[in-house]
Amino acid sequence: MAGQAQLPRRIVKETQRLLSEPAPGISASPSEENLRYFNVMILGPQASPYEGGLYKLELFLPEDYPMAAPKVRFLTKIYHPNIDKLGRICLDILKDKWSPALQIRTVLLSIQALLSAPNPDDPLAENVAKHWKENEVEAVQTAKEWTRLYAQHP
Amino acid sequence: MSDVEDMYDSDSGYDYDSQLSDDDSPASSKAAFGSAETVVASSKPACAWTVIRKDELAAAQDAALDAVVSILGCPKGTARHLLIAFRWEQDALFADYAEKGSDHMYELARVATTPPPNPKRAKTSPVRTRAAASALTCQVCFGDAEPGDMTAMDCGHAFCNACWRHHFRVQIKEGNSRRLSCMADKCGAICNEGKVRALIEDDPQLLDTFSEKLLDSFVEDNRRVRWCPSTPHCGSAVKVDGEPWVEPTCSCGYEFCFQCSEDPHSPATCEMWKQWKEHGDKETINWIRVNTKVCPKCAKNTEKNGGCNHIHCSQCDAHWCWVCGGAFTAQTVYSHACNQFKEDSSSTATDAAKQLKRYLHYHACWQAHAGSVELEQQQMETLNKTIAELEAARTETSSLMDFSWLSGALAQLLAARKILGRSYVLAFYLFGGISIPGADFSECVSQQPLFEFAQQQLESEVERLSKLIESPVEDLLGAQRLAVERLSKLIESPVEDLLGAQRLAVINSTKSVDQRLRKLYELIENDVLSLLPTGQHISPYKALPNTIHP
Repeated sequence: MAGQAQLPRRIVKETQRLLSEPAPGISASPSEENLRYFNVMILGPQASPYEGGLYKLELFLPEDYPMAAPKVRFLTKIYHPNIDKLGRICLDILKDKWSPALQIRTVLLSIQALLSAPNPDDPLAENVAKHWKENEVEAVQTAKEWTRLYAQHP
Repeated sequence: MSDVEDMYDSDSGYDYDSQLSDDDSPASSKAAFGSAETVVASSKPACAWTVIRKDELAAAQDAALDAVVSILGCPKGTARHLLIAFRWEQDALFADYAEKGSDHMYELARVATTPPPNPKRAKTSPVRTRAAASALTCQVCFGDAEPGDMTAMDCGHAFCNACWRHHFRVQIKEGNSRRLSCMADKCGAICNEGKVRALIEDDPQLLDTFSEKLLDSFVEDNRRVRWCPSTPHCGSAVKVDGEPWVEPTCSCGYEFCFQCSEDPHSPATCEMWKQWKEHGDKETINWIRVNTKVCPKCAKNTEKNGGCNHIHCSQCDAHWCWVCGGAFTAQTVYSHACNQFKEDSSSTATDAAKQLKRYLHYHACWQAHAGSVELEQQQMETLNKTIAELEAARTETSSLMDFSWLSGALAQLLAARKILGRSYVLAFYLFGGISIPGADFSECVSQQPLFEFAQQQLESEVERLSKLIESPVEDLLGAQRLAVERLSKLIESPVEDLLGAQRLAVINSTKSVDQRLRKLYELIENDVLSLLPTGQHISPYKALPNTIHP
């Protein structure tokens, strides 16, 4: 916990708020060894192929946070056109649209929203996006299947 | 162009004095060739370029900024971002301003002029804390700050100075100096340059990087300016005033195509040149296809080294027939039969063979001239040295010897050879039924006879001049040796007499080469490239390039 003393006030405040007033369907708690590393859980949004799934993610606040965007990655396998097989996420606010005024909470809410509204026109996983565009019904079916296979509550 | 022709007709012929002597009179050198940095096109309206040296870059940029400041009355920083948004095209900027008004222009450049009273933005504005009525909370670090320690950008968003500094440091290091934007979510307004400088002024290194990167924008975001592609980089940039289809020579001596930054390649187009350079590799593959066959057992490429069509593979010990490509056992060599015609893909091999033959022809012509250029370049260096030595040797005599007609002729010869060599690249693509991205040359075949006539005319004159120059150069070198050997002053008259007879022939041939170059270019530009869809441009003919200038 040596790092806590040097942890910027902003990170401390954000962490406190994440723990005391968690956003619905989202939990984020810092790792004991590294307070910049968060274990994140997101519930699959209702009326999406991921409904009923529980997704584990990791979130890391780099040295320059909040001037640099947090690094977020899915640890649970997911069939989604904007998330690749390594769990990397294609989301503008994690890249060029990042603003230091955004927070961990807003980032996680955006990821949750991305699960509700996949965007196959700006794909990260090319084959998934292709599947989504050519046969959405079947792709959604695969996504549901993966939810059942890989994202069940322990 | 009339000035150039007048020059020819003015007296006994060629007059390179204004080029070769260190005559600084701008009038005389301009009349003959255009100044060192201004080159005049042959048939198109004058197109010119300027070399901007490293130390002149800031001044050139300031001139562009000042022009905008004087018209719009905006701060310099704003002018910069407007120009960056319009890729430094002043005319486009002013046109947009005139047609769509200043709001559109500022919005496009993401420059905030007045803080908008936007309620949505209020949430990222600093929050007054209860604890200290005067202190504000920065919405980035969540820390309290006195109002004096906070800065609001032109968009109205205020954050604490420490956060702004941190933000700018990260962004500048990321290479975003040209668009340091506001920290507020979805704002994206470009930060006021003056405020940025004030905030980072206690970090001189960062400030230097920031200034440097802004200056680079003048070259890198500017369609009319390009870095000289020399390696190691000489630090200069070249600015074109008119069409970008020019082949400038940087002050460091490096000559390049402004459009593609490659070596000069006119009259071939940029795309042709790119393909031509890639073609070498492709033709190797073609050669393999034409001259080798694949062993039916181990699939190794095999080249036949004798007349016998019975191939014994040295790699895998297979026996196979060169004619049909089929394998057979060593025992059945003489009973093997493949005389019956079987439809197969051998026609692709013949096409490839034809294409290869054609390529090899054009490549050989191109290479022959390139080889001559190399030799003549050495000749020119020796000649210039000799002339310098001769001039040094005659300092004590009053009479002047002028050999500029000879060095001028060599310069013209070199220029013509380069163009002539590259005209084979052009011909290879124009008349071969080959299409390259963005162009279909099938229409051009009708112009092939005319083109080849003009090319041949040029070629024969070039060879004539090359031959004509050989002996005066030798004589001159001999005279110089003699002068050195005798350790005495050179007696001018014998040398001059010696060269007198050849002088006129060389001058006339030089003039003729120039005229034939013009003809070739006229034909290419007016009768060939004009047949093609737009986008096929070449650098126009340069009446004597700057190579004359050391």
